[in-house]
Amino acid sequence: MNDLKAPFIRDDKVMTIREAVKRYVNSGDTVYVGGFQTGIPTEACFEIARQKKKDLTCWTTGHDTCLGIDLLVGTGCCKEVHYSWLASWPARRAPATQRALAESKVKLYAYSNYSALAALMGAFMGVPYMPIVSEIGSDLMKYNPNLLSTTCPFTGKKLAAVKSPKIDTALIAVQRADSSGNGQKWMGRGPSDEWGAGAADRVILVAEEVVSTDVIRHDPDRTFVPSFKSCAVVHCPWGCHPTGMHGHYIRDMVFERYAAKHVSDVSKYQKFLDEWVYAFEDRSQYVKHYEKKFGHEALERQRISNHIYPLAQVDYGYTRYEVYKDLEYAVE
Amino acid sequence: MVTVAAREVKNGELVLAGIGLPILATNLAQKTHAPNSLLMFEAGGLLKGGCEVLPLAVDDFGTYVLSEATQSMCSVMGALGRGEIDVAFLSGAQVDRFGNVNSIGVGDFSQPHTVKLLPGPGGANPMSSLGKRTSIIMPQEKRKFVEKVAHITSPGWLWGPDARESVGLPPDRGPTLIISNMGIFRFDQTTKEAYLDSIFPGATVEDVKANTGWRLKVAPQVKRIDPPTEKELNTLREIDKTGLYSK
Repeated sequence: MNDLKAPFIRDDKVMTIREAVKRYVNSGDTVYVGGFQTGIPTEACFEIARQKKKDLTCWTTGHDTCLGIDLLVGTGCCKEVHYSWLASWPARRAPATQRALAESKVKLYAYSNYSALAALMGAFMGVPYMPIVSEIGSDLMKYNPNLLSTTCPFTGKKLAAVKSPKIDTALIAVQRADSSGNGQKWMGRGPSDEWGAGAADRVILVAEEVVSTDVIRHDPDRTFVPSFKSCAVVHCPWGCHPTGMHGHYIRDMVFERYAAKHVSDVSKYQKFLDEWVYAFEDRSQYVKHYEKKFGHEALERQRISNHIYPLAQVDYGYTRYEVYKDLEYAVE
Repeated sequence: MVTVAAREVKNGELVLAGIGLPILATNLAQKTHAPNSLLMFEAGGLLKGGCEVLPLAVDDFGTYVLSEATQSMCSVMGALGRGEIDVAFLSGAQVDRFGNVNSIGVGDFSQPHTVKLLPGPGGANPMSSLGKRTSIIMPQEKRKFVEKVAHITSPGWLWGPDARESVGLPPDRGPTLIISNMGIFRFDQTTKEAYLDSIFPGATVEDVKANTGWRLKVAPQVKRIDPPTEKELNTLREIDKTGLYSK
């Protein structure tokens, strides 16, 4: 039994973010960071920075915040990023990553959404590469050795191919999870998170809510990270702030703008990190500080106020086969 | 620019909207002449009749609220790969005369530390590679309409006729339009080179030429773009009540 690679079959996975990152994110790991413009588990990135993990490679498709991968690059934890879209929208780019690139402190490997998805899918399916029809004729292949020209083995048609990454840990934010590590999500599945989670050796779930396994079992269609992939479950309300979590809170555009201003200015960056990352042990302390500094209303206004619930019930029920006992349709 | 982009969407089409102005344009189209078009966003949201809440980005809750499907990014890329996307909108930093677009950064890519980054290729590459018709949105500036893009992130017609076919890209798909704040460019069927097709009220052919970094071909009869109608303007105001997109 390998403690660092799926399958993980136990029901005692709930732990603090500190414990989860200590046990399951090692220096040198390749880490898939989930979410895109919502649902990025920023608290997991904060903890990685606090524990000063080194030499990480980060993998993402789209990623929109300066408090996730950009933070891991800016704090010196991450030296290599594989991405298709990486920016903090108010800054129009990834500020700390831009600086690190100029100082040759980070290596960037660019993909399109298509090839990045295909790469994760290849890892998900356990194959060494995937054939793709994007990237052909572009300069993306010129500068990324994980993209190659190839031909179809059946028809000889010109194609491209993308190498499947080896992902050690996936950081995945979910609305709810149980202590066995079933991760459930609604309103999208984190654009590429289902593939990123499956591709990884192990998954850390950052959950707004921890629910009973009974809740999971009454709605199993929503499980997109099956329990055997998860090594840890962290109960982490506001764990995705400021990127938002569907069904709980929207993106905090004001704070992202505020953060981007500090991250974009090298003279302000360390002070910002000291105040918002290093001062805390967990997200609840960050939230308390946010409320103290900006007011209770500043937090409350982000919560969902227009609710949309399903109009029709679904029934996962059954009838026992015993109803057919001793029954037979006579043959004429 | 918004109304021109909106008019490019025909009723009954499957549309893919990239970040920024395309979101507003596609919503306008759905609420005016294309009520039966289906709008897909990069992250997977699928909607008809315009968004209940105008999204600010492609993975915003506005792309999922009262949507018909949430899908995933995989579904979107698959639809592109299978040739099911009728029209796509993309933007970037630079465009050249063959509609090749740079959306990754500006600098010398053999010396990465010199590169000034943009967000990244995103969906722009698959859109221009695989969308049946792609519209490129680009402000009219000499440093953006360049002789040669620093990086071919999203391939257009590459270097001319038969180029796409020779590298293995579908020859019957690709960019069909460049929309700038001064005018619209289409691509010559034979040479695959962009030419100025029509101009906005207030712009002149000379203005456009002066703000293009190559010797721009111009249609024999350059048309005037119809200004936004009253209905289009009112609908835009309705869609974007708080003026989020007018900055």
